[in-house]
Amino acid sequence: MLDARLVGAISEIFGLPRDDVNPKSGRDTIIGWDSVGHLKLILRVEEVFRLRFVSTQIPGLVSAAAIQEALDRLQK
Amino acid sequence: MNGDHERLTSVALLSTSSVQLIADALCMELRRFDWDVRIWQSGFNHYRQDVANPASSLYLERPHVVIVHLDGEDIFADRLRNPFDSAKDERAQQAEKAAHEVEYYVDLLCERLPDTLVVLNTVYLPPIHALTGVEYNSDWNLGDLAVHYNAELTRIRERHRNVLVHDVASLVMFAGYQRWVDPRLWHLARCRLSGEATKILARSLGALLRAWKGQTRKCLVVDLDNTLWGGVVGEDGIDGIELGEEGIGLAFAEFQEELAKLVRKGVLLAICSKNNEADALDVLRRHPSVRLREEAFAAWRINWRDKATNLRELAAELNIGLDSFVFIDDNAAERELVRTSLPDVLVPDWPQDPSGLKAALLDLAVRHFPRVSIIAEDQARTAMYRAEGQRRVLAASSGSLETYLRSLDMVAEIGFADGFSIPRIAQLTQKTNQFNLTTRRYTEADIRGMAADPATLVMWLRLRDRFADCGIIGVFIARQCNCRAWVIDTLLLSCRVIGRNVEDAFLAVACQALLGRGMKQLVGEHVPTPKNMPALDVYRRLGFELIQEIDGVTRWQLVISEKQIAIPEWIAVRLAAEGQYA
Repeated sequence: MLDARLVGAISEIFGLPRDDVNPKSGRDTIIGWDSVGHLKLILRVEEVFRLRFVSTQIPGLVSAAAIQEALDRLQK
Repeated sequence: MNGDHERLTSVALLSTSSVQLIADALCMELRRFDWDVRIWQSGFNHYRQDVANPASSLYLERPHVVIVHLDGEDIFADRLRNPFDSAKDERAQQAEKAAHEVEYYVDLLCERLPDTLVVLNTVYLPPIHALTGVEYNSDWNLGDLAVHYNAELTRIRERHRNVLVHDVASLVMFAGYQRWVDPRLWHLARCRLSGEATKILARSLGALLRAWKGQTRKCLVVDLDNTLWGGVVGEDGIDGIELGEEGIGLAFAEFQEELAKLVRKGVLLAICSKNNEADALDVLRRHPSVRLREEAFAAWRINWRDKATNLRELAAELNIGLDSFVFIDDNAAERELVRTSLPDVLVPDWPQDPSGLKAALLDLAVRHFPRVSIIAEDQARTAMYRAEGQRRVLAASSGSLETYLRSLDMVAEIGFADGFSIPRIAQLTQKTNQFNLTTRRYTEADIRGMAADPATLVMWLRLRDRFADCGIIGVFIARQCNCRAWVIDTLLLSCRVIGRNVEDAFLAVACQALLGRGMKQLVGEHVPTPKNMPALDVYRRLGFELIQEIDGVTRWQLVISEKQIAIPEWIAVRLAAEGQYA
């Protein structure tokens, strides 16, 4: 289950309708989720959730599900 | 490139680090201010090649603005890696060498893109490094590299009229170095700046570019009680309000001091307050700690009517649009009323804590009243607008319009664009909306280019009357169309002098100048905008014939070899010698 704020961030950064965002949305399915788009999304998620990923995590956060999982761990 | 400014601004962003995030943020920031903008980026650490190669796509792009965004950690990478290696004298030389390298590329840019604005930035170095503690207690130092380098930027800027320096080092100090950098982004993507720093930088760059184009608000309207001083003067009395040299009173005094400095930079100040006018003016006239006397204000509405009505009246009195206003009030309900009824007026949230007032004002000024230069007209602006108020009193008592105009003792001085007048001419093309026949916006570089072109005539008009020297308030630009005809590209007058037939004198003298060049016909255009209706009738009134009308744009022609425009009797005309205006 994706947090609505994560859905909002993905939809905002990549200009997608919220309904099009699902756990499988990621680098392979979204046009614009390239290396720059990736950083923009990670920075936006950090801003919205007021947290900070460590540098080793960031390259692996390439799908909505992966980001949600990292958020769940950080927010425990 | 001249006419393109209204449509699209092309910005090239060159850097030693990856700037894609900055490019995105700058694009968003400028679009918020309705700029149509396209950003061209150099490859990572590729800026030298892009500038040096005359065939690079940078030059095909022909950008209006080139931002050379350089980072101290890249410029002085060797020194940061080997901080123990350089002696004191060598560091100054190293900084100068780095600046000379940048200067070489700036020279190339200015030569190949003579109309393009080049933006450089001051640099900073990490505040904590291997020499921390040793610096300033020995000959070893790193910080002085940035100090020397930044000082060189001023020299480079002075050599080129199209170069501006963006003081990024001060932004970093303001935000804090730890917030400014994000080592994760550097390691993963070669971006130096944090997400937050990227936004701050984009905001600041946006303000600099808007200042360069003259797109700033003009008038700051302030409330009085609990805004300009603490307490309510009607209840607490002049002795009871908080305004002084200690405690909370000092916070209000410092706030007033900053407002006074804004006036010196050319911002108009006005008052909109629910108060008894006599009580309020008494504070401005008599309070020992007041920093803003009556003369600091261009106009005021101090009464018990609603503030939206008062703001509309202020706009009419000052003859500027509501979209030039910023309104400050401590009362959230008043702010909301103005926001709702006058959406063009910018109404910022305002701190309740008096100790935050000065910082809030500085932030507001940087964002909405940005300046990259201050010219003589800016410093005298409030006096001009107050003189206009006195003229209105005279007009009301004069009976006929002609009696009034004769009593003003007007002297119009007219001259050709030169180094002294060009900044003001550009400023007028950027700011004038009402008596502006074509509303074409030009930068200083544009005007310089036209002034140097023998097929273009750029003239200015300066007006004095018995109340004030209004400074340069008129611009006439004509381009040669063919061997017999010239077309008026720009004819504008500051709104302060509309209705005095100054345009008659201006066009009459311009026609004489053109006749001297063997011209027979002069063609004028009126390109309608929502604001320039005051200028609609000028060509018909002065005897031009309508020759074309397409989509509301009218073209008018005068055969100047046959028909002369009369200079009104109440305006004395003097021709300025070149370079006379100062």
